[in-house]
Amino acid sequence: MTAGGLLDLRPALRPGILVGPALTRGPAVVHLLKDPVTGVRMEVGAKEHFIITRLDGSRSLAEIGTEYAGHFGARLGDAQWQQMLRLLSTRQLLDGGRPVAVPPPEAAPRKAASGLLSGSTRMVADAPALMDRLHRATAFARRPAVLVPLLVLAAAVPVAVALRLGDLTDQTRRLSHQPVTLAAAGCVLWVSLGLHELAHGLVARAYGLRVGEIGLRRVWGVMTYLYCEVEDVQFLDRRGRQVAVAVAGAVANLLFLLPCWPVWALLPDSAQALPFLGGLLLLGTAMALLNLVPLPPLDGYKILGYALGTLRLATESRTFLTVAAAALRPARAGAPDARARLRRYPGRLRLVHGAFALCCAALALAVLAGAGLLCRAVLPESWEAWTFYLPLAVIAAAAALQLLGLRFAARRAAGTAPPAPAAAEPQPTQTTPPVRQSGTSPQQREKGDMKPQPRPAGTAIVLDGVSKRYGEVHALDNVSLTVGQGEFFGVLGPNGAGKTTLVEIVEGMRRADSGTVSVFGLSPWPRNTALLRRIGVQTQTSAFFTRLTAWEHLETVAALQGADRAAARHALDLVGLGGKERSRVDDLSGGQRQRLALATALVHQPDLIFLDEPTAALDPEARRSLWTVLRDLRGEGRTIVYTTHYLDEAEALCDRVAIVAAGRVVALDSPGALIRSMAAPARLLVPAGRITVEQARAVEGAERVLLEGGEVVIETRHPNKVLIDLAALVDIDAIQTRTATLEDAYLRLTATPPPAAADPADTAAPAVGTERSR
Amino acid sequence: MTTATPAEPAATAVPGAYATLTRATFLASVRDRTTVFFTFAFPLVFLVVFGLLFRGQKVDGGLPYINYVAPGVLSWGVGNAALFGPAFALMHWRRDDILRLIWRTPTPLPTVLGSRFVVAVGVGLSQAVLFTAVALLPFFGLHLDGSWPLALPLLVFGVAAFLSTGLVVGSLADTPEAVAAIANCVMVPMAFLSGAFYPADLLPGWIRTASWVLPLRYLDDGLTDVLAGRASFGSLALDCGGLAAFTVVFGLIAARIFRWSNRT
Repeated sequence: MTAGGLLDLRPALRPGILVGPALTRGPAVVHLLKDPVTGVRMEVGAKEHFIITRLDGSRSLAEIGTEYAGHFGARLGDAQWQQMLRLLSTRQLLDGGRPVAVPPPEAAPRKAASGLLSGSTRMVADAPALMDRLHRATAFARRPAVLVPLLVLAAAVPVAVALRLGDLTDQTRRLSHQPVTLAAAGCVLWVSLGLHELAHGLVARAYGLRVGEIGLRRVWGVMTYLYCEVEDVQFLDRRGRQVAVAVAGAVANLLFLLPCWPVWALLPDSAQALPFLGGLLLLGTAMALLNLVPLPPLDGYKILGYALGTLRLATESRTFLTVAAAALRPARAGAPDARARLRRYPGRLRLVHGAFALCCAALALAVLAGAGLLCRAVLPESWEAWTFYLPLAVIAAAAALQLLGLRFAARRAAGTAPPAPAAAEPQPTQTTPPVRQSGTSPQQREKGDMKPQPRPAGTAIVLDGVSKRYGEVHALDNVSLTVGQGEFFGVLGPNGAGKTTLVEIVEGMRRADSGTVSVFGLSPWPRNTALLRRIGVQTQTSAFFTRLTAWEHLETVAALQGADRAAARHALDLVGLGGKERSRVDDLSGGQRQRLALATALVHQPDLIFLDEPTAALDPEARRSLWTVLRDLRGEGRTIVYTTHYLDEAEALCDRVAIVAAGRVVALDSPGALIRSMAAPARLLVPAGRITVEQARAVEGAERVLLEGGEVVIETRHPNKVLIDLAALVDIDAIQTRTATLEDAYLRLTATPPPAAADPADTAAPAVGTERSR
Repeated sequence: MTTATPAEPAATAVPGAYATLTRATFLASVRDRTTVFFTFAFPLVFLVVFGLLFRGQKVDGGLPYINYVAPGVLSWGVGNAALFGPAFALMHWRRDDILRLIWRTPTPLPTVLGSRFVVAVGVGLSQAVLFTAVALLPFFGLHLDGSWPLALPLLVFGVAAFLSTGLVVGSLADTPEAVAAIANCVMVPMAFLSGAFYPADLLPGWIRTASWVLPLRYLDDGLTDVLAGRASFGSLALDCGGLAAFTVVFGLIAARIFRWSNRT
């Protein structure tokens, strides 16, 4: 883009973007900006604000640049314009006609976890609608004739309380000896606090602001309070209105007490309710006034900030103090620098920040002194010498504890740097964790290089005529099979085919109704612990000890199995969960749970491993890396019985596959032999433009020709011969060959699925990636 | 050859399993913040409520009211925790297939139960210590007799009795709601009928007699005697024996209805 072109642009700010009035943050002048669509808030400086407010679509950048130069006495170069526009466009502030991308909820600042003791509960489903109703209902009060007397009355409450302070204090003291009544007064004041929040919301609504949420917040189970989130107060154009929103809460508290006053004043001195009402008046007024103390997070702090037009007054005051202190120290090397920083504060801001810091210090001292006096009043006489310093001691102890905690946390964080074996591996991420890095990539280790492993002689499992029925259902019907030691044996079948029962009978959890079962030459029924020690079972439901971390769970399982911690560590590293060992089992993702379940099955290094859909919740990458682990296990001579729904998995991993349907073994062979025995035709695919259906039908050996999705499909049992003939008609590179897969065999063998899929030849491209092209 | 490896460490396996399981059970209990809070706070709340209601009153039995309320609420709190914890755990373990996992290991079930028992006793003792410490404050005015260590065997037997009851509940119920419902049906009437919430000496005579069929009555009775310093070895042995009998009875019932899995 040329410079001339750039300056001719007439960009416009997106309509609806809120731009707030000038505020100060420390020495800087800033404006708040809010995107109502994405909810993103940002701060911009005075210069950016100058430009942004002039982006109305009618002015060109050149014109704005001239105004800018007139105002700030400096011209903007091309690079600065480009930077500015890039900033505005990445923040989606420009009106480009494009839909605005709302960041996904995860990207938004996450709310604190909400538990039973701490957290917040939303009480009103549609807070803005509720506020609208309240706004209409209170319309009568939004007149000076009502508001002014109300405000005067509210102001009168503290005055009246101050005048009768002696009586009220006395009654409050009496109240403190009546726990039940005191609790009642507390409840009333709690309600008053809820109204306090609603008052903030109502005033904000009256000025056209939006109330985001009304709810209950809980802190450590001891404190529960209502809150009402008001958004964008600082975008109100008049500071008076901002202050009004903030002060409304305290006014509501005082108005709430108003009806109590005449009752209290009229009651005779002997009335039982006197301490209650008196205490309510005194404590309620104190609560309202305390809320006006200018310390964060109280309302008073907000009022001060709004009135002065400052952002983060407390933080900035601290910064100001450090700068001022550095500037005052004469002999320091950094002093000139600090003095320059100090000069950036105008006189008014120096006063504001300095005064606020002083005020805070005074308040802190007052609180400390008050706490000391309170301690002296409450604690026994014999401690008199100590009591006044008790608050100081408590603060010192708390500070020391915090320091210790921080150091401990830092040390822990340093300690989390994974131990030696895990450190070598890439840290697994939440979604696509590589299970294990091996010398060869999974692709290289595909079916092609599955060399026959040296297999120990002997059998692991022998089933002979095993049947099991539950009531009328034949879970297993005369099943006979043999699994050799070191074999990778797949069990395929639809849900409810009897796979689980088969596994449960082999491990001895269930007894077969008839037939014999032998595992490593022993009978698994009744519970045979010597045999169970050699068997590892991965469960489908991922059974973990609740509220333990992954490591603690595995350590416990290892101990139950009679294995040591090294075994647990080995199993954890084997499945690549080393980086997650400190996570609670309840917090693990689906894939991580699957891998922990696998580690649970492997922890005692069993010879016979039952895996039940171990890759069910894994993404493709994690699946492949788990395959590597499984192949390594088989390489160690372990026998693996593997139930799965993924036929490609069975094809890639298993030495032999049993297909189970309705309690019977309907096929048992190596995947390759199963596919061949189906004699399913291969499919040759040619783009429809290259060949007509008639031409294809004429080729010798073509059994069926179909037109499918822009391609002519030729089914044949002699693919090589047809390929040669086809090559005469079309370019051979355009022809795709798809051989039959285990899925074809599986679908044909397991019952009679819907007619369309009954004949494997009719199925379109299989949904699971089982095709192999060449 | 890999077949030999698991056999060797098996000889030393059981104590390791015991310690690790105890630790796991302990961690799982402590991390359940809500339960921990209620386990310790509930008895205190009751202590405060009854303390406020009946402060300074005397009962016919001759002891200050707090000497009835404190042991009563304490025995109820200990019994409650010892019943609910194992009941929930057993239900969850069965539902989440952890029992099957244990079934497949060489670790015998008594080891698992033993570790659960140790943790339950630990919880009961810490409840007792905290509760007694609060009750000793001048506000409540409990006075501890020098013979208080006699309460320890009582607590151990009491925990055992309620733990075995909890195992029955956990075996019967298949959902958390069912556990809470059954356990509350057992505990709440028992608390009122055994004099846990108000002095047994104030109960009608026939209820007082009938209440000896409830385990909480033995625990409450024993603790009241010990804290008041009027416990003899004979009466204590009777209370402990009663609790042990309940342990055996409920233990047998639990063993009878125990299930490894919901599906069996």
